[in-house]
Amino acid sequence: MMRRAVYLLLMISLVSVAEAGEGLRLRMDAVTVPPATGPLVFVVAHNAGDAVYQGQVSLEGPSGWRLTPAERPLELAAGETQRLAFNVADGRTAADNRYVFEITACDGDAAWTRRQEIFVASAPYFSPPIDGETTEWSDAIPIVFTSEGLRTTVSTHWSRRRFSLLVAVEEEQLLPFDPAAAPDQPFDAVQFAITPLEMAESAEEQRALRYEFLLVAEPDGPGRCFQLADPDTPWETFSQPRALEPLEVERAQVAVWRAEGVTYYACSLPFLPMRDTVRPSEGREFYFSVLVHDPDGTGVRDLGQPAGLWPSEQDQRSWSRWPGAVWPEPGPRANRVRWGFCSSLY
Amino acid sequence: MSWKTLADRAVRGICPLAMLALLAGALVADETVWQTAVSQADAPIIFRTVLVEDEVEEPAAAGAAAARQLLAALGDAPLQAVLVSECFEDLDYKEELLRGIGAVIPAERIYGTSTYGSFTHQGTGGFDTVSLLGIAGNGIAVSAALVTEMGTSRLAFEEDEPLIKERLHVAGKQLAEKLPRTDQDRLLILLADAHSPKNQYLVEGVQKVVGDDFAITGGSANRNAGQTFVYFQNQAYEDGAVALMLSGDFQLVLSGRKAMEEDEVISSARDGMQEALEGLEVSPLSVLAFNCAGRRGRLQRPVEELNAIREVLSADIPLFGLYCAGEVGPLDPTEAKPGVRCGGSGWHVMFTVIGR
Repeated sequence: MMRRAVYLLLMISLVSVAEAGEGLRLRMDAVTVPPATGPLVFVVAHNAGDAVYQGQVSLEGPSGWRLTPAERPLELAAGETQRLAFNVADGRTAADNRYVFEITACDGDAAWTRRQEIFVASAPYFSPPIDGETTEWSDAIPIVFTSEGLRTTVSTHWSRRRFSLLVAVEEEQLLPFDPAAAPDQPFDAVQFAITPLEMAESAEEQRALRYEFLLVAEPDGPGRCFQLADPDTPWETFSQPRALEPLEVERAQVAVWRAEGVTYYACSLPFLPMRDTVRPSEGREFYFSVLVHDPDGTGVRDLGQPAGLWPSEQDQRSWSRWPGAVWPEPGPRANRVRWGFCSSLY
Repeated sequence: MSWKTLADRAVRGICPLAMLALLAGALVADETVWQTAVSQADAPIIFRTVLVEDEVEEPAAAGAAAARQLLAALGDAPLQAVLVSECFEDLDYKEELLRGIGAVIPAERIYGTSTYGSFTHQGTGGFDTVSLLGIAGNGIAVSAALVTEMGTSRLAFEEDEPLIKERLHVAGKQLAEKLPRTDQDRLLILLADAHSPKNQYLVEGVQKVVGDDFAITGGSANRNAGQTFVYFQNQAYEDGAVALMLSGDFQLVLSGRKAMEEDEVISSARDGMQEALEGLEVSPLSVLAFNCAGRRGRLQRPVEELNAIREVLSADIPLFGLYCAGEVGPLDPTEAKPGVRCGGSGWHVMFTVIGR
């Protein structure tokens, strides 16, 4: 109960501060390379009103950070969205990967401020073994978020040949995927999506425009990975639950295991099928997100929420349906957390 | 008389025997030091580049093909040294590549580093590409030195900056002190397993020996786990640095530009190239471009930056470009220290135009 109260207070203090002005929305994108390398950070501004917005946006970073320029002019037509870049001239890595920024928009005499906690969303170069151990993941940049007091930790790595993901889910028990013994019963799973930037800009609605996967535990066995969508998967396919077995990714390496109240989902996927659209290279960005399905506990845990995506960025086309899933109302945020590939940390 | 003394006397023209010994290019007794014969004032200086992509996962064949192409392009000019920029994943592939190059070119003349890719007038290359710069002709001389066990490859800058600074100052000074010197020394090329921002301290160490006004350029090896190699005489070394000194009767102009956003990356490359070319008062022979892999990551199409360079650089002037984890050269005015010609940083493209 106490953990839930703390969680609620944190969310109120960090998220509810402001929608600025008449329809002006402001948020930060995740930082896609470590702060010490002098990255850019981006403020996303959206004008949900019906008139042009003109003003200034300033950004203040965590203590000790220096950002340039101090402020940027902003002019937004009705319905328009812009990303404003600020250079991190001095930035320090936080051990907990949490960074609080303060965004202020000034429009004449009126000023609005939003404080937002963001994280570094970046996959350092490395190809960890998928062996049921977390030891080799120590050079990742873990993102920790809490849902009803239970922690979820997301870590990623990349190499030219593999994309690797580790999700640690604090939960009471693990419900494995067991279609023979428990058909159509809910089970625990990790669903994740990788979206090329240029596809995300497409207005097309009839194709998935993403690579999407589902990790599950087995009653006996290391775990399984299913591919729910690729960019050409049509809406009528990914919007309906369908049998998972034919979707298994043959060359995926998967390990799902439990230790001390935590379920670990680790997988490594071959990059080759994605390499034409998501180029594995330092500095490259893409969109990524994770849903943790915990039907007998917290329900769906959505990485898009701690990433600061707006509720208005919910999009039912963002996530494929599958048998056994229990979806919340309203649904999860879009699968659009800005992510990057970076060099190894040392 | 030691080999080192012999070499010192040779380069000063004191000992004819030593001159003879070094004319063919000789390894000094210290196996981490090497030099060619001294340059001849009116003899030719030739630079050529090749870029080869391995599309069939046969790195040895790719290395041999690149080496053969390079020698063909150099013609009869005596080869002084070869610079390798390669982006093959993992040591077994890299060693195969080096084996292929070494099957064609004598190992003692092969130097370089693991990078994130290369660019020449032929285009840009990333994974599974190798680019070679051939330095040939009796008008130019090359000496080289290696330091290893710098002790910084597993140190994080934010946690261990004082220790990194101390160790890289020592390593840089040691490296520069090893280099055989002549009064014709013009350019020091520094290749190191010391990514930005560590590289600034290695450069400072080198400058303790060569001085703050000496021309230094170079790049940091690919910093990814298992890829962080520099190459000295066709052998791979981690946690090390290689210095090459180019000597001869030639001139050079350096420029450096920093940028982090797509449009600025492209325009800064064009501007930096133009500034260096305009500063040269003689005919350009070659361009070295140590570029930041992070800059490339900002580009949807990396070739657009190369195209901007090619807008101002004639296609008949060889261009040897490397995508690095840190760059050495003239720093952007926002970072430069007064009275110091070059430094180490990141997010830069560092041009050196060599001419005569």
